[in-house]
Amino acid sequence: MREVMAGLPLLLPGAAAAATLLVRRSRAVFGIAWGTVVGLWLMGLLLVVSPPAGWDALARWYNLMVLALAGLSLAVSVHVIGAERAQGEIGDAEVRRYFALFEVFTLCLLAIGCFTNYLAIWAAVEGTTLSSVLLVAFAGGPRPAEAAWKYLVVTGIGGLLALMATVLILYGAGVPLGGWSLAPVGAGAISAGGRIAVEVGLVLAVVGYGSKAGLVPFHTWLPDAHSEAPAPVSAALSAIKLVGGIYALLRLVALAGSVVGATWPHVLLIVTGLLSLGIAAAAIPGQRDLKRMFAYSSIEHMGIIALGAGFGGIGLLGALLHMWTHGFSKSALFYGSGNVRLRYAATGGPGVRGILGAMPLTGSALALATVAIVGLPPFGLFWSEWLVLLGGVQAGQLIWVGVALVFLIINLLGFGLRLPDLLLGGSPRGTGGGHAESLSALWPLGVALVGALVVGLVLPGAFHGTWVGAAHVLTGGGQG
Amino acid sequence: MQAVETLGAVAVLVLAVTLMLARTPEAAATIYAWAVVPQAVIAVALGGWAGRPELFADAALMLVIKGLWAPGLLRRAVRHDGEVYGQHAAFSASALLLGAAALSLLCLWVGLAILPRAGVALGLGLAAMFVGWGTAAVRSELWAQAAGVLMGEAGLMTAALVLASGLPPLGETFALIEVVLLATLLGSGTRLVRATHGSHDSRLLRGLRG
Repeated sequence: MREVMAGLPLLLPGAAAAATLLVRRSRAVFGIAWGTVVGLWLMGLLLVVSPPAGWDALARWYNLMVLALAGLSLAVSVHVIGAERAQGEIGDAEVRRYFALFEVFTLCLLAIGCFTNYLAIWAAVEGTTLSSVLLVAFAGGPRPAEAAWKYLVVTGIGGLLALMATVLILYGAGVPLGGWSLAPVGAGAISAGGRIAVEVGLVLAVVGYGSKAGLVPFHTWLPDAHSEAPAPVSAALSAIKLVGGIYALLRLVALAGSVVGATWPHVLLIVTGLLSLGIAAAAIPGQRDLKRMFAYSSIEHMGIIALGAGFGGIGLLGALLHMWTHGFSKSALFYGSGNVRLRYAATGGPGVRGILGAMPLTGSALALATVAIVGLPPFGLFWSEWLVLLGGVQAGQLIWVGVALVFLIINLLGFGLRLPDLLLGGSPRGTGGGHAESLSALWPLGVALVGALVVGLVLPGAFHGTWVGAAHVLTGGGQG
Repeated sequence: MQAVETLGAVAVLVLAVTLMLARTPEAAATIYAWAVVPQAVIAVALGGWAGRPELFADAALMLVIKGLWAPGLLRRAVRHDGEVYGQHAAFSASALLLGAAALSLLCLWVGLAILPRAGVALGLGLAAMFVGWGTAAVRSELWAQAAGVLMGEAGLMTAALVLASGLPPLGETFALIEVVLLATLLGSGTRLVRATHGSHDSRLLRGLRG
């Protein structure tokens, strides 16, 4: 029974996508989507009660997050795409295409955590990219087309680099390419050539999977894709898809580290994390569009996860917690930006001002989510960032902790510089719409905000074994 | 076996360098199609040498999917659009060739360090991979970028075949599906950008900068 459950999460979105393609009317598509949302969450509960036998603690940690957040973004999709359908902006065919792609995207996100073969994980990560390219271009027009092209070319190359990295590291580590086990192999008698293969593979993995995770240097696609995609897609890309890339990267890094030692992988992660933080710090203060600002913030937070993984120890625990806390906080921000777009027909520019006055509940939620995303207490990100930095201090990396702190403060000031004008400034010149403050627009935002508040406090206690076990898996300690 | 691998990798690298200088989408698609042949030959040789008959089927699928179907898709994506093509690269041809040569030497060194048995073939495969992606980076035409991405995959698969003495069926299946989806999306993307921007010139993709 428990073995069968390991594959169940894949069946649900797969069947939903197939059913979506078969029906014709939007109402039926929305019904299937709601069924999928409920199914994903029920499955999440079921997995908490009875975890499948084939998953290690890291897979459980990641899959639970995907089930929670993908379900939420799918629910928001019903509202956002439903509003566009009701306004006559899109037809039944577009609705069908959107949801079929979103459900395939969810399937691939879950497959990353369900598979126990490195090549299969790579294929699942690629699947998330290839299925979401068309979602990025969904709105049509020059800007989404441009964003989708950059996304496809940059992460297409990144994905192939990740494949080469996988082959090199498995060859060097002496792991069969077709084997179904993610267990660490241990140093053993590795040849000189094998060691070089692993070391070169590590660099390619950080760059290749880093492109999927929005890490420097292949981050350039991210602000464009996240800003042009529909809001629920932006949320899913930022909250889950980027983490899927990090998950795959950390799996490979753990394998490589078990062969060549942890020093080189950790240095790579720290450098990449700091560069990502630095790029975000340079870009956020200059952004005038909500979604682009949130997108650059995603680069920052993926950098924090890489940094925590590089520091190791408590820092790694912080990085794992950050996957959840960032996921909920950023989902709240992008859902809020979706409401703003429905009201103003834009998420930036001179017409988008005084959101708090025009949309008090959405504006308040955006303000709170901003407090969360910049890492202020009492939200979960504060605790996860604290753990990451503490991990750096414990590892004796005081200089890098200092540099990271400076970047974090710059990012905080960047948000502080831009958000007040968008939220408070001037009188709103919205174009109406009437959907922005409806209950269907607000409840997912509320759920994400509550999640942003409580996961940092609840998860470490309620899922302590899984949390610590996941870190144990990444430090070569087995199945956790 | 080593000679087949090395000759195959040389052929893929030469074709990758040629692609970097291609002036028309038809030429780019044809060059990419030819780069699949050496990969298939290596797969067949490895299949015979290692007694793995599944590599014969893999070679046949490579030829059909990567050698015929994917280039056809690229050709269809840019056919009859009336655009006049020239070569738009960020660097001169001699600079590109010099860069490719330097990259090849570096990859050769890495290849020989990793795999003394077939390090030359591995290094040249890696070099073809980077030259292909270099084409995607320095050429501004969308069709050249699309062909560059796929050529990089050809170099990658050459290197992976040599390194792993033939990928397992799982890996080959994933790689072929990847090429099918990637080529489809690159073809669709080329058409989409052409439709929205009126040209295949990626230098026009500036709407999101700043």
